[in-house]
Order: sequence, then structure tokens, then C-alpha cells
Amino acid sequence: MKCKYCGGEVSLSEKYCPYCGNLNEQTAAHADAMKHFRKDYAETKAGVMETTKRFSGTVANAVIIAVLAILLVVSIFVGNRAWDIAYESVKADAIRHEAEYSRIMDDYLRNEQFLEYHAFTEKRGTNLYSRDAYVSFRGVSYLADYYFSFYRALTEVIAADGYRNAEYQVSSINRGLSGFFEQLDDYWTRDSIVHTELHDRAVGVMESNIGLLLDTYLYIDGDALMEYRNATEGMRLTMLENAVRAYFGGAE
Amino acid sequence: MKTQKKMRISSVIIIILLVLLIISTVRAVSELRSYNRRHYDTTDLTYLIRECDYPGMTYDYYNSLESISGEDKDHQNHWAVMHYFNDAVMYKAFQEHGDTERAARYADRMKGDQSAMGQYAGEADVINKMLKIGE
Repeated sequence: MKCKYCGGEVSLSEKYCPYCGNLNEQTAAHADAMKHFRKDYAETKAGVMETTKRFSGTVANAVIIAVLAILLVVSIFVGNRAWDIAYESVKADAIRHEAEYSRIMDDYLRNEQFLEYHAFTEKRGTNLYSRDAYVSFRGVSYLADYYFSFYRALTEVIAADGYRNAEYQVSSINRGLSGFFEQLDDYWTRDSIVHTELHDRAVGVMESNIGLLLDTYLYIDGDALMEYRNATEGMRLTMLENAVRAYFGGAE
Repeated sequence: MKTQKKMRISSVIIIILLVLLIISTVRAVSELRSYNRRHYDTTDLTYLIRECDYPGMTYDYYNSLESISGEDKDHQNHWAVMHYFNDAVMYKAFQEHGDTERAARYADRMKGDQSAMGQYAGEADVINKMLKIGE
């Protein structure tokens, strides 16, 4: 380019004309423009950085909130359905371990451990009567449930310190006994019940134990038990109430 | 300013969600664990023994996993009292009806239970008296 004053050749890097010594105005204008450009550039850069930062922060927060909200919904669902989930898991285990569990249940029955048998079927989910698995245990499991109910109510009476604290067990004993004998009739008559020698023997022992316990603690002998089985619901309750009263020496 | 306010609000939401998540997770875990399980406190079991509530102990025991998965070592003495009671109930029934074989089996169990009772060994006499055994 040429100097505005003398027309001499000057370059952009020369602040003054090397021929006339005047200010190279184009260099000055260029320097000025560069100064503005740098400022604009710095401002734009800062703006872009700020926007990006703000945007990333917002997106990050939105993602965190979304993830937390999903986890919250899942944990509330699991909390509300915990028992269903655990129940399903127990059921799945019962199906998976059918051979092992069946062997354990047979051992309980063989050893006449009916309370343990009842607890095992309850806790290990092998009393799932609607399933094909454990079908051969169906009848004996029902009976063990009622045996447990009866036994529990009877021992409540035995351990009570007087008739007043025992009388509310009369209906529980009756429920257990009535249920047991109804199921017992089903056990021997229903076609769907699978009979095995071990299960038949266990059922016989349960029935015999109930008879012995009633005779020993409530003075209900074999004949009275037969009478009980043939009686109406009201008569059964009266009979048991008198028996429990007699256990406490005929207390009021 | 507006951005900072937005960030503050989202931080508060995150904190609230975190707190709720922790609470609901603890609840879910405890619900899952509570299925089939019950924590037995030594004080509770001691109280049941003192009250002679052996049937209550029986119900608790056979409704817990301990009855089929093995007893907690801390509570073996307590459960032995409950086992003694149940074995004694059956022992008396068999003994009185002349089933000597089963009565002997339950008598053996009672001996084993009594030796496992530890500091509650004296409860055997209470139970025998209650059931009128050996009178």
C-alpha cells in the first residue's frame, strides 16, 4: 500500500511512513479494528462459554432429576408390592427345589413332626394348592394346617392360668377340630387326593394324637369325640366349653 | 440471576428426591426382609417365658424361618424352653395312654431340651407342674 501523504510504499506492519515520517493511518485503523475484533471475540467466546455451561448444568440437573424420579417410583412400587415379590420368589424356589423340599417334608411326616411340617409348607411355599407341584402333599398339608391350629389353641388352654383366660380359645379349638375332621373325610373319600403309605400313616398319627390330646387335657374320650363329630356346630361349642371349664376344675 | 434461581430450584428438587428415595428404599428393603422373618428380641422371649406364654412362643417359632432354617444362637436357650413345653405336652398324652415307645422318645427329647435351656433350666419344673407331670 501507499502512504497517504507522500505516496511512498509502506507495509501494514509499519506504524509510520519510512519516507515522510507521517502516521500510517491504515495501520492505525487496522490496529483499531483488530482491537475491536479481539474484544468482540472475547465477549462472544465468554457468551458461548456461559450459555454452554448453563445449558449443560440444566441438562445435567434435568437428567439427575429424571433418574431420581424413576428410581423413586421403582422403590415405592417395590415397597408396596414387597410381599407379593417375596411371595413370588418363594413360589419360584418351591418349584425349583421340588425334589429336595419333598424329601424334607416326607422326613417331617416320617418323624411325626407335624408342627415342623406345617411351618415348612407355609414358609417354603409348598402349600400352593393350585400348582401341579406337591400335589401328592395336598391332603396331608391341609390336615397339618388344622392340626397346628388345634394344637395351638389347646396349648393356650393348657398354659392359661384360669378359665377366664382360656374360654376365648374354645372357638379356636372348635375351628381347628372341625376343619381337621372335614378334611379328614375329604382325605379318605376324594378322588383327587393322592395317597401314599407314608402320608396315610401320618394322617392316622395326626388323628390319633388329636384323640390322645383331647382325652388327656380336656377329658374328651373316644366316644365323646365321636359324639362331637356328629354334633351340630352349637353342640360342639357347648361340649368344648364344658370340657375347658372342667379342665379348670369346673370354674365359673 | 434467573439461571441461578433455576439452578437453586433444581438443586432443592434433587435433594428432596434423594431424601424420598432413601426413605422409600429403606422401607422397600425392610418390607422384603420382613417376609417370613421376624426379629426376635431377647427381652421379648424372656418376657414370654416369664409369663409362661409357651404357646405364644410356639406360634412365633413355627411362623418364622428359624423353625426350618436353624435357630439363632442367641435364642437357643429360649427356644429350648418352648421345645420342652411341647415335648412335655406330647409326653404326658402318650404316657397316660400307655404308648411307652413314643413317651420314651419324648422323654429323651425333654432331657435334651432341658440341657439346652441354660439359665432357664428351672422352667422345666414350672412346665412339669403346669402339666402335672410326675405328680
